[in-house]
Amino acid sequence: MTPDAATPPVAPAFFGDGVPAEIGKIEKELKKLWQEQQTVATRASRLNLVVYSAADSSLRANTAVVREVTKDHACRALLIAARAKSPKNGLRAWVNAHCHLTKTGAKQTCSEQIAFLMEGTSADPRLISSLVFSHLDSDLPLYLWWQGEMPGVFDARLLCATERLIFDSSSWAKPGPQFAIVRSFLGRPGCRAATGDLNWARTSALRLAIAQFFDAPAARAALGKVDRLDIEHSGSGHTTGLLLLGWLADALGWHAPQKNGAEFTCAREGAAPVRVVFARKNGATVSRVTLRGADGSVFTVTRAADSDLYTTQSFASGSDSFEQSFAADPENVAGLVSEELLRGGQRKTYLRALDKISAALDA
Amino acid sequence: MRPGADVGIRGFATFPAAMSTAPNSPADNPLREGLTARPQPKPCTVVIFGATGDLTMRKLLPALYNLAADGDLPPSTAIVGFARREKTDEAFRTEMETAVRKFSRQTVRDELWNTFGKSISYNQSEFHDDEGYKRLAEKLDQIDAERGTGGRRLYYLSVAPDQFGLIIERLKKFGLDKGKDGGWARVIVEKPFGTNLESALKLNSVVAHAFEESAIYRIDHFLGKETAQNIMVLRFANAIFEPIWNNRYIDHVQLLAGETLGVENRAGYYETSGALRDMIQNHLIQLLTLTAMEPPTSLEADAVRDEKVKVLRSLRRMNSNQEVAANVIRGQYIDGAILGKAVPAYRAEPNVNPKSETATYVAMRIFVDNWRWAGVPFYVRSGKRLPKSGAEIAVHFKPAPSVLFNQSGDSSNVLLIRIQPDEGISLRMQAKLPGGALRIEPVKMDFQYGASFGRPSPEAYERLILDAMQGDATLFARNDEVEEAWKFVDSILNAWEKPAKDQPPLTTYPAGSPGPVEADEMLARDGRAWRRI
Repeated sequence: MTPDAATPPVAPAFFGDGVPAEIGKIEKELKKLWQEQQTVATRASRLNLVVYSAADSSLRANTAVVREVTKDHACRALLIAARAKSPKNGLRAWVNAHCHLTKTGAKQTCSEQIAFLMEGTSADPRLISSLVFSHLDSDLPLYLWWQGEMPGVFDARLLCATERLIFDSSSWAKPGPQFAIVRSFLGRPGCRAATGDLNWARTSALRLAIAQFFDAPAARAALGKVDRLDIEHSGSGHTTGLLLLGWLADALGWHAPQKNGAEFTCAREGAAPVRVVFARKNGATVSRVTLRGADGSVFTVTRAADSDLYTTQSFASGSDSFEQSFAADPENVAGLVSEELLRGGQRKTYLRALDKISAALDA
Repeated sequence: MRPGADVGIRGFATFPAAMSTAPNSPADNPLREGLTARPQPKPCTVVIFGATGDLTMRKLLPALYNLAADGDLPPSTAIVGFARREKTDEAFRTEMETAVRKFSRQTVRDELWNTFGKSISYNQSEFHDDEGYKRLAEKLDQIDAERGTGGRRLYYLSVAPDQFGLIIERLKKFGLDKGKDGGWARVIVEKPFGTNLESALKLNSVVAHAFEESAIYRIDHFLGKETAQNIMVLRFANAIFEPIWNNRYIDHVQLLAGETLGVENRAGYYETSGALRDMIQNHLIQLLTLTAMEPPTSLEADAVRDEKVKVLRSLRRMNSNQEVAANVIRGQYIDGAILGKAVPAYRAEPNVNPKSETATYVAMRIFVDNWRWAGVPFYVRSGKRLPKSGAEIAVHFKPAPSVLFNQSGDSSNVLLIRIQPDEGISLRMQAKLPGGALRIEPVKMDFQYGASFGRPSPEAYERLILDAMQGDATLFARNDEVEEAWKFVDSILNAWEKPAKDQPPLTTYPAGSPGPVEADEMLARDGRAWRRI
């Protein structure tokens, strides 16, 4: 699909580029796609995935992401791009299908994609709801992935029709106010939208890697003695690290982190405060987390650059060093969205972690 | 499942494993809260008896590796192979690595294998040798100390049933039937659970000699399949089905487990088991119970199994040769062709008695004598060398009255639950053909797991081993289930084992055909027909 190309594709291709479609005749164009296709394929969908972005070239990039996501999650994808600064005014659309062989290789299944480009005066966020509601598969859940900064005002009808509002807090320049906006969306009467922060999804396996250190009762004793936390992160990983700190602070009963020069300090009841050091390093979003105890115990999770594995190492006082490897969190956005779409329910631990770091976010 | 979920995959927060006591609950480790839909089990040592056998290499080790690769297995889990053949830890590990690389559903990654492989060790011993168990006890203590497995032991008996007694007795003798330091000891028993009621009772008593029933996990891998687990969800999470799931709306149910394969290299086992013991007494009867049972009071293991046992107790027994002959057809394949390739008769297969009377095909008409199912036959069939491989449950609804539309042919709705391959559910219904004439044709609404959920389901063994580690026995057979199933099957076996002149006949069918014509005739007498295979 090439919505950003100067000229639209001449020959519509079912498995290739998108086909321009007249607004109002999109369903008809989709039907035509199915009639014209040459191979046997099954149309499949178990959810609606709406992706909104105001970034340039987002349609092309998001088409690539959706293509990957549909390998795991058959869906109807609605891509909406707003280009307010475009000299052109108007709304254009393309239809497309992402087809994949099933894992057994027995069948080809296809997910439909409709892409909208809102330009100039038509790039009005108030139009989004009308595009979404007109093209939803009504019986299937709606996941709304809002890329970039959250809007100050959100169409309440759209929000309340959404099962999960997906966003990536690592992309926010000022996360504090943005999280406040997200908070204001939650808990509206009649709305059941849950949050899906891709930045939290980035820490899923990492949190598991840290937690598993303390399954053994002997190591659990060391958990209360942790008095230093080091987090090494990439340039975009500072908020990710803060979320991780919020999670640990909430789970372990530490007080909210206080900024102390370049570091943070978390006070504790009846124990010395925990010193938290963030360090920026090239590589994975979070490349190393180390917890150290006053008794000399050390627990480290490391992710080498370009690796998709975490390596865990522990040294608890009085026991041998122990090393393991297992699958790390995805770094690519398609992988994160796929993981996110697997999950249900409200993120209580996430929201509590967020509460813990709310002051640190503004610091 | 990948870590990170606060609750389960959309909609089903707790099915059914999460109903059991949380194995790694936040109370134990505060960092565990909200991490996975299914709590990761506590680390344990998995001891596989018969570790050099085919099942270990094809299924068990690949399942354990996949669990580890998916982050579902605690990293400190240890695996100990116990078998007769002389070999070192290193040689065993190498063998297992080769097997896992060959049979794993996921590509094996060197980095993961390097750490997973370190968890594997080998304990060479005859099953009757006390010294071997002493060494095992020492090894388990050492593993507990080194890896933090907390005295938790999961024994997997991947051996012939005649070895169970030897092993169980010695586990008890050396105190290995109990966990250590607050841990637990559980045992997974592979089928067959006996060859008749008497031997099943004996086996149950042998295992019960050392283990409480709650620590015994009788594995039937059919129950670990995604669609088999989905039967309860389909029935009890969808309000439209349960009201019509009875004799008022359902005409009959057909259950099929067929395969194109012949006896392959299992003649030694198959000659004494046949289709009835190999497939029907366990797999298909289990599927029947899930289809026919009443809603359980909860998803706790015993609540589900209580309902399944009630179905088994309601199966109408066949008390005479005549009843067996009228309701059961047994057959044996003769030479024929599968996918255009000539294949020999069963009696001509290697290691098969040329005069063998073993049934490679069984078709049965079963009645569940309870309020819900009175008068609804369950037609069950299983065979080797059938035209296609697959397992399915087809619920045939009663046809609509021919008052408005004069329909010819079979116009009934059929709800088809495909267990394997292409797991999914379809509903056949009637629709008007486009055009001026009122012509009605059957159409299908089809849901396929593979199409809607791109991620492959875990292998049945992965799910079941993890369940056993977590102490969730829902998908395992309880002793009374096994015994009730044998009580039902025994009457048929007794009829077949009578002197030849009194036996219901053994029929034949060409390899590659849908089975003996006598099976078709059995349904024709009821005014019904088998679904096309």
